[in-house]
Amino acid sequence: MNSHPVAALGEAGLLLSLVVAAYAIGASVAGARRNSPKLVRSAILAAHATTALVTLSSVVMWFLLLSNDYAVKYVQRHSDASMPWIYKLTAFWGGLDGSIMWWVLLLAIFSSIAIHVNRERHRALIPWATAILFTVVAFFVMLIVYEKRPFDIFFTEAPRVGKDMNPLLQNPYMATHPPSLYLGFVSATVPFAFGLAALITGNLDDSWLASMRRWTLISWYFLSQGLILGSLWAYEELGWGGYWGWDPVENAGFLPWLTSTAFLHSIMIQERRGMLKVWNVSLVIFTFLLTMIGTFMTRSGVVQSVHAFGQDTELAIIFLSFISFSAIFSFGWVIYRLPVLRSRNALESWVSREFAFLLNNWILLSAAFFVLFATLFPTLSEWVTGERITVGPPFFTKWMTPIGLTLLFLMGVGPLIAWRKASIENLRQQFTWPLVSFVVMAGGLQAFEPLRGWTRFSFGKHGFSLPVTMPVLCFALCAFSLATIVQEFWRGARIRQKHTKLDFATSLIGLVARNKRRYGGYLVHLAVVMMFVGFAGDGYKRETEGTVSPGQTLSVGRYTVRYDRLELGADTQKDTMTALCTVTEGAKTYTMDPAKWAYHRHQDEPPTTEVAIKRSLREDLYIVLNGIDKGGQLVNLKVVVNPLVNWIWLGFILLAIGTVVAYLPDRAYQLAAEQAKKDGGQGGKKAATAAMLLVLLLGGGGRLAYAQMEEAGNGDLHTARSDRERALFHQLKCLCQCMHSLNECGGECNPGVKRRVEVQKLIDQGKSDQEILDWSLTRYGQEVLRVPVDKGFNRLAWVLPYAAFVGAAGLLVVFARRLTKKRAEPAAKGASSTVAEAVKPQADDEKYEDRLDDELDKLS
Amino acid sequence: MSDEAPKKKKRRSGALLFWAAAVGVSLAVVAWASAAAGGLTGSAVFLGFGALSLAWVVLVLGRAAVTLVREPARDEEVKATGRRRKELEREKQALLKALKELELDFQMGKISEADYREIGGAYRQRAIGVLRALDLESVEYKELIERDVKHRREAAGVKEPAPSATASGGIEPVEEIEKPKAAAPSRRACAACSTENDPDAVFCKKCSARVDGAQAAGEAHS
Repeated sequence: MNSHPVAALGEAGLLLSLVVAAYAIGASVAGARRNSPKLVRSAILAAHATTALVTLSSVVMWFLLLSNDYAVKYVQRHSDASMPWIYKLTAFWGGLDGSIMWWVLLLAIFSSIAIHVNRERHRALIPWATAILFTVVAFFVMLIVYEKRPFDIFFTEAPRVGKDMNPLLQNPYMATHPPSLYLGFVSATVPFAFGLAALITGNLDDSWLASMRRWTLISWYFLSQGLILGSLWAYEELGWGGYWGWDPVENAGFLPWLTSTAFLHSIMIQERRGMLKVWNVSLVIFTFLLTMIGTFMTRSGVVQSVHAFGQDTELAIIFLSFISFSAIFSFGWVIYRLPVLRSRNALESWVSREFAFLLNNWILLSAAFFVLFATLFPTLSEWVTGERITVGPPFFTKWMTPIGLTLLFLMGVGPLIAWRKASIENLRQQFTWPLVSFVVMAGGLQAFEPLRGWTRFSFGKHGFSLPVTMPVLCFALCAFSLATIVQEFWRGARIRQKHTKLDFATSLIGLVARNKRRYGGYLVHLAVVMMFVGFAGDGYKRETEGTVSPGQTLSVGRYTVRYDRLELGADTQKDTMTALCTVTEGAKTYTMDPAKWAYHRHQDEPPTTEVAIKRSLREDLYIVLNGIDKGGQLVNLKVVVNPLVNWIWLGFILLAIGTVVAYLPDRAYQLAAEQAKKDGGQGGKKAATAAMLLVLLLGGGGRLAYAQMEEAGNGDLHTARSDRERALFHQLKCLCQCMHSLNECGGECNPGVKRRVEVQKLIDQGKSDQEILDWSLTRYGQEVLRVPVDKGFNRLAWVLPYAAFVGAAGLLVVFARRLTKKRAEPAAKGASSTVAEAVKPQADDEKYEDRLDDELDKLS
Repeated sequence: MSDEAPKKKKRRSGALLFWAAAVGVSLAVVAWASAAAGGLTGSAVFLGFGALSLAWVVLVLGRAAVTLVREPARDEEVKATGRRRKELEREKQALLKALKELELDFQMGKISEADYREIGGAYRQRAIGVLRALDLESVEYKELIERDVKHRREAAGVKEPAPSATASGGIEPVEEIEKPKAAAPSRRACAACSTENDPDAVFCKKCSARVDGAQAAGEAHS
């Protein structure tokens, strides 16, 4: 094979793992069919052996990276001796081949853990789950053995130096964001495998579902963490002032998150009412397929993105085949098992929690479908019409804002509305305070002149306007949901206090301990409320840009930024250029130092932007060094004020806490309860104060941030000179790979400057907006427009969102009606318990009733 | 069942020994690599990890192959009973928690009283079914132990005492075991009417003849 013994070992490990995995798959299927525990046990051990072999190959790769072995192509292309060791480790997943091996490693480890943990509990499912999990592992191993080979060596003399990892990847986020995201993707395979195994064996009781809920929660959590870390990374590294660009790769991680969230909610209906079994198992399959589609999108060249690994048609075809096969196989089994999956119960009212959850699912799935379609639309249009169009952030935001707000509203309604059928009395009792909060917040904010405004919803030539801006509506809905959550905690603790006669704090802890999943979930809802507060702040963003010489200032809002001087520096890897600035904020003064770093090994690429950020709860001051003129005297600075953006990051921390609360063992709660008892009644007072502060902050945040666009400066970067120019730039894309408008492309994007100059020339010549857009269209094609033109094939892009929502709503109605019709049919004999015999009243029932009551009392 | 325990212990200590040796070798490898490089380097550490991974591969592959040829452990049979019991226990816990949650929902006004009784009733019925099944399980479990004890006694050549009179499939196994009925030899049958009498009876409680069959005030028959 090759004359490099260590790389040969790595390669051999992968090949052997393929062989062993094949044995594991075959033996587990055979063992399941023949009912042979020996075969199954051997298969499971072989599965663990596959994991061991993949681990061995991974360790070899890390060894090669750390010893700077440039004879191996992958090491030479993605690493360099001058890199800090931590980045050498992260170079493992820095390139395409390595990233697939990273997927294999994580998937194998997770699969082994899943099989080991569940070996007793789900004995009937284990053989099939093993076979399915390791089929997926084998697929990916085949990719890196036959297609993208990480252990290939140079046959001729190896280069003396490494190519170094892309400088944009050389920061701490590289060590946390990809692992999180990959963990999220990979762990979605486990519920899929067990779900499919349950379908194959016909073993569809609810205990399977309870285990899968746990795994889906793990997957959902890591996806959330990965997405947030990615946003934080983009915010701090890329320097365009935002955190989410609706980039295809970002969307690829968002899609399974949406379906996982839907699953975590609809599973509650199955537990309480035995409904939606088919739907839940389909959601688990969808989530897995979406993770596959996500990894396919980023590696095949099907979509254009700063993240994408590049173009590879062969890989695309292989992935597509695998995804199609998986889809057909999985849904085939769903259809085959439909009779067993029929639900016992019916939907009795449209005003009920069941329907609220159905709505939640409808919205989440429609959003997922919309995002998927919009992400693939440019590729579709290229195939169909030969011309590639751009579907940029404005298109996404137009739809995702109302979706997000509806979800925010549902988050407030869901926990309070009654099961089965909500009466008027129930509605009044539950929703009074939340509605009051909504009205008070909305009214309070509208009282401030700068916050008032209109939002227009247009559909082609028609449309309507709401007398409230989206951010204000968002704050009001946040207040609504917050009131719901506080009310739940308060009332629950009060009820418990009445029964146990202890103090409020202990009752609160006891309440959470007894209902971990529910109250952990409420904490997660609270975290989402905080994040929406952060998203709303984006509506009040302010920025300014200008070319300044030492001593000159730029002002935005309360801040005055004075450029002092440029400082040059260097280390083994890079040259640095830092603009030292002094910022005055009212009475306070401090320094900030945005910089640009030029990596020695990457001279042909633009230097990276190192943003300077000053953070507070209220807002971020964000300064970017955009460019330095040749003489070194003038610099171009962009100063952005991002209100409330830290609420997003803080919200995520609360999300993590909520997830942990939902799954802490009971012992932890006992300790907490004992601690609270010692505190006496203080805990309750503290909780109330905290809640009040939170409400004040929410309201305060809204009041203090208001919109005002500043006049922008001019300079070498030819940035917008007026509001009209800014609006025009907003509609045009600079033709590098990013999704940004001409407004946002900074000094590092050369095409951006040229495009702006062109547009400005046309404006100076007296052309109208429409003429300028037409000119750009003719010159550059449809790709230059950030929002597709409304004609021809593009009409599909406009129609699709409506079609998706209406279609899904139609399906929802049909589905709900079928569920309602079930009332007339007798209850199905669906097995949802391990107790096989039908439950008939027997003579000694009374004795058992007493015993049951005893056990229930013990559980308090 | 208990002759499997020492085998299992041997296997476990064997595995432990193997891992101890593997860790030892890995540390030695790291030390050697560090010495060669003039200090602890990342690649030396990963060389050590490599040795450990190799050990893991060998161990698991070996066990996978061995499992195919070796006889399955007999403790699988006993485990089987324990599993069902665990499943039932788990289901019981889940149903109890569901009932508690339902109660909280009712107290917080999220479910009408009629619905509470109906849904709660359904859960309760299921829970009672599980409790009943759990009791059946414990009977089978005890029977299994009794059977095993009997086998061992036979194997050791110990003469069996008469089997304790346990009723089969009874719902009250605990009470049964607590009060084993006494074996026959301690009771005396009346020579005249064959009624069973207490061991220290002299006259039959039914026909009032002497239990030992002797006439009138004869000698005592011990």
